Amino acid sequence: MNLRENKRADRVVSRRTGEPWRWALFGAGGQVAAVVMPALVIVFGLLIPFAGRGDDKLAYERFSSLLANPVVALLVFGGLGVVLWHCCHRIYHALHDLQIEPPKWVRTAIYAVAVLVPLAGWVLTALG
Amino acid sequence: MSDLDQRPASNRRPLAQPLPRTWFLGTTEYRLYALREASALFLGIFVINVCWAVVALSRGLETWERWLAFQRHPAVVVFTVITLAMVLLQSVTWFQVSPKAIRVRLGERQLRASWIIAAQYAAAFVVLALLIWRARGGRS
Repeated sequence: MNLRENKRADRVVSRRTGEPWRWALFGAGGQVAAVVMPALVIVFGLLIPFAGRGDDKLAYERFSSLLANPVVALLVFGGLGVVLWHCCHRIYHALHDLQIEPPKWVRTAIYAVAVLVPLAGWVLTALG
Repeated sequence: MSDLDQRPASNRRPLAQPLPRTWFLGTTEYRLYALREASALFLGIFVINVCWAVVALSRGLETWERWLAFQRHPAVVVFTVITLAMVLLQSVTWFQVSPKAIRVRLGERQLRASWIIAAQYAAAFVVLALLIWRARGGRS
């Protein structure tokens, strides 16, 4: 009886997944996205590109001097990273809504985008 | 899962009909849900775009100008405008449900949901103001 219960407990333990911490990152990313992304889209997507030459030089000087600080760069890519993680998490789960049940490597690839893109960006900026 | 669910389908327990693939177009609620989920794709691509912008900023003025020229491409502008609509939808809906996830206790009582929502709108506007201020000069 005891042995059987142990076996059952083993099965329960082995069913543990990485879902909780993936979910926590998703929540953090959603919060950062909701507060920061509208401003980023407005300023970087529309205002700066259409501000005219003088102004975009000014923006370049202001933002590149900020990013020269490696701690600022790390925070920026950390923030962008959790937002991208949030997006990738939702894109992966949207596949289920579309009734697509992809093999495991697809999930790995989607979440890998969220880790590798900000990491590569930070490395390129730090080495820049 | 109970044993009941393991039983094969029968006349008395017919097999559940599978959903049609386009179930999310069925009702207004489903369509809004689908639109909100689609926003993740636009948002994700924009984040990658911003990563590129930050790298460009570290590479010098010429690289930065090239990134800006790309942003002015008509197709990219269309994408950015759609992304703006999507990101506003995502933010507004996120703020709307946030009081269910965030509880602020004030002694015996709790902070009212409307205050939590208002605080997040305020935070979003502060971020916008800071970015514009910085882009237009700011403190060097």
